[in-house]
Amino acid sequence: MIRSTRHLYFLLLTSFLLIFSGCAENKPADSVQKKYSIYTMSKNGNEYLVTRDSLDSGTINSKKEGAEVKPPRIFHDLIVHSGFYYRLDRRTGKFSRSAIKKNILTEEATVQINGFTTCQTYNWISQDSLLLIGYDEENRLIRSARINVKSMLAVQDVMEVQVPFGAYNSMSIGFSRFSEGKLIIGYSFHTIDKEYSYTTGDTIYVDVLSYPQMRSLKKLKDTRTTYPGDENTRQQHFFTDEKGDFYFIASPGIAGGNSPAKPTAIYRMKKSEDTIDADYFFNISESDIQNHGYGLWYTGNGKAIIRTERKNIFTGMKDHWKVPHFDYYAIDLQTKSTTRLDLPLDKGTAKQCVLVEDGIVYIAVNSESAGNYIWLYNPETGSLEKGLKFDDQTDYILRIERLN
Amino acid sequence: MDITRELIEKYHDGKCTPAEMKAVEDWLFSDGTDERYETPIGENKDSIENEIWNGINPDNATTEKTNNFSIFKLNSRWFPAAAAAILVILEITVFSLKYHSAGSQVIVIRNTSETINKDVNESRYTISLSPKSNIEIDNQTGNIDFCGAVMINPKQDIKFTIQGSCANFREQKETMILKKGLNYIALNYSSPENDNEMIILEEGSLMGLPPLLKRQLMNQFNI
Repeated sequence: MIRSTRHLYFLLLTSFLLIFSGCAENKPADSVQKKYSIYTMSKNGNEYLVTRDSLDSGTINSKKEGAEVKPPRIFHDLIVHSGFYYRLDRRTGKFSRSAIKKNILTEEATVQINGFTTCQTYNWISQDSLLLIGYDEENRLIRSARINVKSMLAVQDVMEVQVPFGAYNSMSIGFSRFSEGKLIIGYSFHTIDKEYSYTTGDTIYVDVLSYPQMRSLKKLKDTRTTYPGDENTRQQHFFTDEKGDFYFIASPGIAGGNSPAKPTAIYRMKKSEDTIDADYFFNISESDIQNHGYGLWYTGNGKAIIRTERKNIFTGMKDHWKVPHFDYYAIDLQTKSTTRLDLPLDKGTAKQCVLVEDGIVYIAVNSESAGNYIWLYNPETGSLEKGLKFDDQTDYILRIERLN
Repeated sequence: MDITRELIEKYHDGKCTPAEMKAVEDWLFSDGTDERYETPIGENKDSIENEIWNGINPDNATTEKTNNFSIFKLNSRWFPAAAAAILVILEITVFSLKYHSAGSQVIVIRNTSETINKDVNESRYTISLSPKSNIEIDNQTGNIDFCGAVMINPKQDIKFTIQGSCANFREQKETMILKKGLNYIALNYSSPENDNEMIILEEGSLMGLPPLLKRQLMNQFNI
């Protein structure tokens, strides 16, 4: 029954798209395809997408050379992949594919996603297939959508995952991992009250599901900390290393799970295993860092970069987003050593601001005293140098990523 | 102690005992004032409230007279609502006298709805007050006192001094220029480390908030 319903839906969707979308080509129209995409916000609030072939040097004036982003405020919604910008529209549930054409971000194909308007976590199934997962607040269901981004066809499912219960009235799905033909997701539950505050339950839940059936195979819990991951359209929080081991960060700080008594920590799930590694727990809050952290990026050879807040500089959520207080640390996942990178303090609560290319780590930093630069960090030598410079009107470098 | 029509009449006649007087005054000045009287069957409480609030707005002085008059002309089943209306007006008057000098242009809005925003269009700004929130704006001094969450959209650059009345009085005051055409959100926020924080930000900076809080505000203010 489920299968036949799904097939019917698929057929209807196909017909709809053939009628309304026509034959959209899956090639960005701009003849020159630059390697990198950079998303900036100016001091006047305007936002721009700029493309470049190198982040190593030069100067950017976003207003002069960038495509102004309209509608704005989509920087935490984007999935950038092979020349295109994808996003789920929060108001309409419409998933769109856009490209920069003649210096304008242009929507060229869409597919309607039902039941959830916030992609809480995404994962690439293959080069052209994308998995979105989100919580359907109205119907209290966990939904997924598998989208072929070439044809823009979607297959949607309800996942067999525990929904909020008892005092909990919301949840966050923080990571997803494909392993041995199964899908593993991590999540936590929240209590939201009407006075604009929330807390996160003290437990990390990890479910192993059959794929693509989305049926529950195994349920795991861990209470060493909480709030695994976050929305990975905002910032990266999990990765798989060269050995196939999977790591994710749990971020209960005030800008994440808002249960700051719990520590920020990194968990591991070993290759081919569908259990949380009970022997591994990298407690960031109790390391030399002594603070909560949020973003986590793998840089290779067992090393990663973590972006951490500085508690004595900000006072609360009222200024967390605007005061420069973020540090970057190079961390060793095996020895659990931490090394602070000698960078100016960065501002912006969540940014997609670290990119690893050919062994070089590019880090976008917004400093009010030392300017706006992409810095080049070499994990082998520890060297740090300034790369691409942004003009003085730049307030935030919100995303840097590989476009082509 | 139950607040009955008889007790309110007794209060106005000055015949209450000290305990009864205290009970009436506690009820009068408590946050739950609006929830303590019952509207007559078949009558809509919101419409009665709207009439009352419209009447309080100094820009609608004529309307106030008309509304009050029409209430008293109605039959006796309206009496409890009318009595409550008088008390609410009394409450606002006392509140205004207590905090403001005569002649200041003070706007007081209270949104008792559990779900719907209350929108007000003034000459220099529009505001949208979220459910279970209240705000008082002194147009002469530029002081804003609020509790809950509010969106302000200035029609011209305006300097405001904003404080969250349900937050810490001294620490939460903030003076800033709100720029024409931008949307600003002010809210009282609590977290485990700070249970009385005031956040003021321009709509574009909402993205700097945790995803859960951001979504709540975007849904509430239709962003």
